[in-house]
Amino acid sequence: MKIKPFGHVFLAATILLLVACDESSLCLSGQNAIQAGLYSGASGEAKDTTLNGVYLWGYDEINDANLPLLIDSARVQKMYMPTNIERDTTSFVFREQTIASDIVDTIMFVYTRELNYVSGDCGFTYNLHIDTVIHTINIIDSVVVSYPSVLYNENLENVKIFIEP
Amino acid sequence: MLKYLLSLSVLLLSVGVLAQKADIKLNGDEEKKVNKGNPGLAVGIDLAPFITHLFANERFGVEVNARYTINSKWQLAAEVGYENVDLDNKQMKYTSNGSFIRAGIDYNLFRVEEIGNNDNILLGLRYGAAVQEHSCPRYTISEDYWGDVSQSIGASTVGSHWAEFVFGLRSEVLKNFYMGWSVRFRTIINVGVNNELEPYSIPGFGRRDRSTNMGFTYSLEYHIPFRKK
Repeated sequence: MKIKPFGHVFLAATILLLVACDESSLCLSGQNAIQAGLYSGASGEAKDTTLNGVYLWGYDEINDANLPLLIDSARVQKMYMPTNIERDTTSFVFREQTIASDIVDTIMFVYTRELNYVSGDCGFTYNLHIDTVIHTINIIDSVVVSYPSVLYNENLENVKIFIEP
Repeated sequence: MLKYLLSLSVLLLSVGVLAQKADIKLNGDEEKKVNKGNPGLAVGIDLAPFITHLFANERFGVEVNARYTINSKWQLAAEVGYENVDLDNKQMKYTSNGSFIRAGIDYNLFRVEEIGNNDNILLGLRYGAAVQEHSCPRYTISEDYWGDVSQSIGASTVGSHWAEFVFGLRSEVLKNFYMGWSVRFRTIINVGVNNELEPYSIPGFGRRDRSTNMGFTYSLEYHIPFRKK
């Protein structure tokens, strides 16, 4: 029995189509954001808290400039804080509406960056490792780094921000 | 995963259809001839890189192969080639030039007791190695709030190794002229740890963003027989 040339070509074409049929990769955005949870500083134990009228914006230390609002008078329990991936530090200004408007806190995240190749379609991202968090203590009681790695395709809380009682 | 399962189904179906044994009784001399197969050396060209170029125009390659038929069951195979990649999209610009070699052995499953039938259904293994020089003249990381970041990564050389499982059909379409195709399941053994730039595509292996890959060859070969039939 000879292998039929037509069958040969048909099978080859079928398999070629299957091989060439590429799985499209889904590219994720906002993967360089630090995730922060808000907690009450009233007790020693970490307990979720929700704040009303929260304002959050980025602060460019080099140019001494405020960036547009990230959170505009919202009720929040968690905050996504995008990092400046061109630098090793990113600062944010945090304000709560119920407190006098000139009372704010500044939070500075200090981190190391490691270039991460995702794919040809999605390109590169930076994986971050949070080294230190420096902050003022008007509204914020303390900040604890619970999970220092900010990785692509990972959705975990990185820091716990304890609010003054 | 779905495409792997579909391909596997097509392969199993084709084995079932094609590997049927003809029920013909041969005498001693005829059986000896059939068992010898068609020993010799075949050289050929793989047309798959040209077809791949139609689906992924950032990749262009050339591949040639050689096959030594030992007997009706066993064949040694080697494939060498070159691949150039020029990728330019919003996320990155990437260039690569590299060469590869694959070497291994094929086992012929096709048992037809018919003198002069040199068709093959092949199962085989390959070891592959590639060396490439690549660079990323631009990559852009999108960051909506603070602004996008664009950087570059200079040229470097990287070596890669992989293993392949081969399934293929090969038939003599004209005297000593063979047409054959194969489907390859490839798995990475090692990619050189040199710097921050991962290869987008490894010559002879394919896209690097997966540790296993499927490949395809479609070759035309000329067979130089070593013995008279």
